[in-house]
Amino acid sequence: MREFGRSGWLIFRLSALELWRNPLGLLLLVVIPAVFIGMTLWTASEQSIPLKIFFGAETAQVLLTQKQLGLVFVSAAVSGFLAAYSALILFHNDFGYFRFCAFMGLNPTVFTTARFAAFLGVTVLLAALTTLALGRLTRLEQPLSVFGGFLLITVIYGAYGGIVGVLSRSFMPALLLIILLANLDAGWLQNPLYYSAAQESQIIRCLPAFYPSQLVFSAAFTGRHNATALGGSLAWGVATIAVLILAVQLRMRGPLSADARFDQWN
Amino acid sequence: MLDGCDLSVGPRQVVGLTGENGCGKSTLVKCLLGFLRPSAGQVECDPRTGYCPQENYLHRSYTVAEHLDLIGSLRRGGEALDVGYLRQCLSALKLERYLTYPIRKLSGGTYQKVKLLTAIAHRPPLLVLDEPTDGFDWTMYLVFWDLMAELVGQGTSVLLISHLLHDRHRFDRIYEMSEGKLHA
Repeated sequence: MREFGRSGWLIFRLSALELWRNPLGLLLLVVIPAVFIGMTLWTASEQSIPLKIFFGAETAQVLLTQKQLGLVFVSAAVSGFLAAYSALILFHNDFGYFRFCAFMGLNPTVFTTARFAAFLGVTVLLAALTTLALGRLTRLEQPLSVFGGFLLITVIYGAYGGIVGVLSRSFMPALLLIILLANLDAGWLQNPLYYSAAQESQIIRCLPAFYPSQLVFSAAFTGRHNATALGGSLAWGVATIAVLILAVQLRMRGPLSADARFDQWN
Repeated sequence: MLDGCDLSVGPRQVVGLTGENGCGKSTLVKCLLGFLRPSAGQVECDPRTGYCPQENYLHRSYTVAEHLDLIGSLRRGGEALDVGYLRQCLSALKLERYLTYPIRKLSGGTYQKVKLLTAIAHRPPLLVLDEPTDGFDWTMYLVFWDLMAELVGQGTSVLLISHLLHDRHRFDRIYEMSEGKLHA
């Protein structure tokens, strides 16, 4: 019980320190979506555009203004990219330090949990702020589900950023990999305008941001529950987080981590 | 490539490991401590071993106090950190005024002192120090040896790795590494 409490306190301290020591990063997490939303408000028109939303076996057609469409799409895309970038920083920077801490006795599970606590803090904050901002600027049919969709995008792309961060030895290729997938998927192919008119939509459906983006669009613009998008998003979320946990455990556990040495010695 | 490296550090001994740059000293130590996996054989290492690596590994955003606080709470299988001893080391190494400094703002010598303090803070039974006096001035070099003498007096064994070993009289034994082999 005492050991459990000690680990809990360590998890809290590690995750709080990580957020506390990066105030500029946290500020930018608020400022960057605001800039994107502001640019959309400034440039988008009230012209109506037809849009297709994926509901599994069927597809719904809705008519939206360019402003409505742009606001929701841009928010989803920027949430995915920022979550991936934040997680890349969280899981890549100073990893050598935490490997040394593992040598000193830090349990890799405690480290992973602390990183996840910090990561989830960032993603919940990002999803909540984006939903609140959108709710003030446009009509959202199901605000809670919109929040859920944003949260799932940030979790999936955050996990992707974390995987790249853990596995990559240097920062530049890791960053470029984040930019590649986040821009290609969340920032381009999931644009509902592009998806609605796409010749080959099957490939777009295989990408990680597809289901959470469709969840956001269906919740924002229709009153219908989108079980297929929710199920697909959860599956992607669980899979990416499982891969991230595996990657962290593999990198943290050297052949003789403190735990292994302790067990061997006693 | 390391081959036939037979190295022993007895209780309360100070053992040196020297050799030219790139001859494999740090690689041998990393294998011994488990940071690298040897291609064959088994390694056993006391989990309470204190280690000061050559690399700059400290978390750049943490303050010195935050780092020491975290390290102090980690030791597994050993006794709690002796705060009195930590204060004594902080004073000897002239680190007290840097406690609130972020590690990224420390000079090279001060950074090295924090690394050394991290290794010795728990008064481990075995200390492995890889180029521990890099960046130290002469006074601090003497303080380093005072701290080592005190630890050895309390039962610690020391393995010191350096490409330049001065004051050979301070060592019980010195190994020289060349072409992946050790010679006493």
